[in-house]
Amino acid sequence: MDTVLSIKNLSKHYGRVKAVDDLSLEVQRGNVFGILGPNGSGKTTTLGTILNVINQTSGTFEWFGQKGDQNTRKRIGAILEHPIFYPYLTGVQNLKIVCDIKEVPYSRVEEVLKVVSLDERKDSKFKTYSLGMKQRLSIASALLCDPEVMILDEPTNGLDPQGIAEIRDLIIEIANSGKTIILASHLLDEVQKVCTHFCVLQRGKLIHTGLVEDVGKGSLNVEVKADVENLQAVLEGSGMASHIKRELDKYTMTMHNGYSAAQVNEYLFKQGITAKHLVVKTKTLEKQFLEILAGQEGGQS
Amino acid sequence: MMRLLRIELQKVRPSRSFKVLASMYLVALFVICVVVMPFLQYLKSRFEDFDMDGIDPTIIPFYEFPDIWQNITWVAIHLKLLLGFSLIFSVTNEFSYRTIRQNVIDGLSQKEFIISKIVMAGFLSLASAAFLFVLGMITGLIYTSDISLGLMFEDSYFILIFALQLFTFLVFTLFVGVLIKKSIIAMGVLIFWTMVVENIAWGRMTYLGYDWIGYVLPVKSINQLVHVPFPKYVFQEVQDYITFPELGAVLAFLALFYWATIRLVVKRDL
Repeated sequence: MDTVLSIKNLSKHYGRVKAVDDLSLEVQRGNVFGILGPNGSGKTTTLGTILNVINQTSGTFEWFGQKGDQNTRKRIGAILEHPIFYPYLTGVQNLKIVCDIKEVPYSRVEEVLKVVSLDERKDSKFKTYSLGMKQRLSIASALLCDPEVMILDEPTNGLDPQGIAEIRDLIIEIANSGKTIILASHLLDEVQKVCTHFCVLQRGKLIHTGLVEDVGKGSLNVEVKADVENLQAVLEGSGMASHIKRELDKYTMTMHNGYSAAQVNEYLFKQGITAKHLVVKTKTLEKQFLEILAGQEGGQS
Repeated sequence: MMRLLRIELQKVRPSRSFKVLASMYLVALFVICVVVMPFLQYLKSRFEDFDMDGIDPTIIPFYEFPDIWQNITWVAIHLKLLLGFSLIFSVTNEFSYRTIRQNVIDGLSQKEFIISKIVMAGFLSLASAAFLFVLGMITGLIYTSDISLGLMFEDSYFILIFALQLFTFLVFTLFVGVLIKKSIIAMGVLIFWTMVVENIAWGRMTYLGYDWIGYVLPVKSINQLVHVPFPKYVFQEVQDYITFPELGAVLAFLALFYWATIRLVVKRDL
């Protein structure tokens, strides 16, 4: 597999504030890479730096194995924060400027406008577009050069549910065509639905990186409810769980390796107890994310 | 370079503020070349009313080759602010729309971005000079009594000097625009600097006898490259040529602002 982007020890300081702090990261070809982090964790600063609009304090980064400059940027389609275009120009006029910057033929304009289904309004001025149309135009603009990598920063920010679904489908479609995508977001659900890999930033530091499909692997959680007084004691007596947590009348067992919900059910039945609620909980990215953040904060204090 | 000019033209051509300012400028250039003669004729008719025969302002060879070149360029350079505004608009808008950032993300280097603006300044200067040259030719042919090819092009190098003056001024406006980034404030500063600061400094210093002041004020340096031609019509001596120290000052300012503008854009985070 070849490396599309490699970041080494990147830092950006604004006075005493460390917006990005000693960040190292690699993105391989074909990855759909999610960058997660709360607001202000340095996602946009990192993307701005690797796109040369922000000068880093220290560290290096490479695109396609070479130093990033305007020629590597021509092979990247990127949108940072909200869509930016000349408001007094039409969609087509705006995209033609991008064509000239990226040195691709004007014929691409019609093609990408069809992909994002914006051809009906292509001759209206940008300032008359709705937010959803603006987002679609910026995705069209990022697609103009048939990019090897797409960088999307909060692409569904501010959209209504229908708009979010549209943009998300578009991103999945683009990802399926084999393009590498780097997606920054604070919406965990979005990253889980779209991405293959993810990393978590906090206060400019990289605190976790891994596969989305690995989320939920590892320890299994089983929720149990039953109308028995001493349920907790019975469950503890089984020796199957490393930890049991009580929430009202519900008990969540964190299982030892090798034990499953079926064995819990069998065990309870042998004890003469019928469970009225028995559910296997897979961990969501949200839960993992909060765990990672909590672990980090615990570790620091 | 053609790519950068094409990008720039695509940006400004549909813009209304640019079209309005540029056409105002062209109209103003046109007016100078057309209106002075009727004005002189009007003066003549007034003098006749006052029974002052013998004074005929229309014999002033304002529009005759080769005088016309210095005359119209000296007048025309005073309209440069109009063109400066259109350029200030185009560069400060890039900052307020944040399109400069998107341009760089899309694959323009910071240097290419600002050079595209400078190329545009060069294009506007050459276009204005060409327009003025055509106007000068036409009016000259209409009003000159005996035309010879030598006379027509004698002193026409003033048109090239005009292009240089305009280009230097436009690079200066770009510098102001890039430095201040807000269109209205940048325009205000440009007007205040050109009309007030330089005039006061110049007036005060020349009064005190420090004549070198004209060389250290950018806009004054640009203006003084072509000297006022009109006193010669009342038989005073004027400088009807370009001197090297004055040309040197303008070229030095051009180099300075070119360097400073590029540096400002390249060094800053977007």
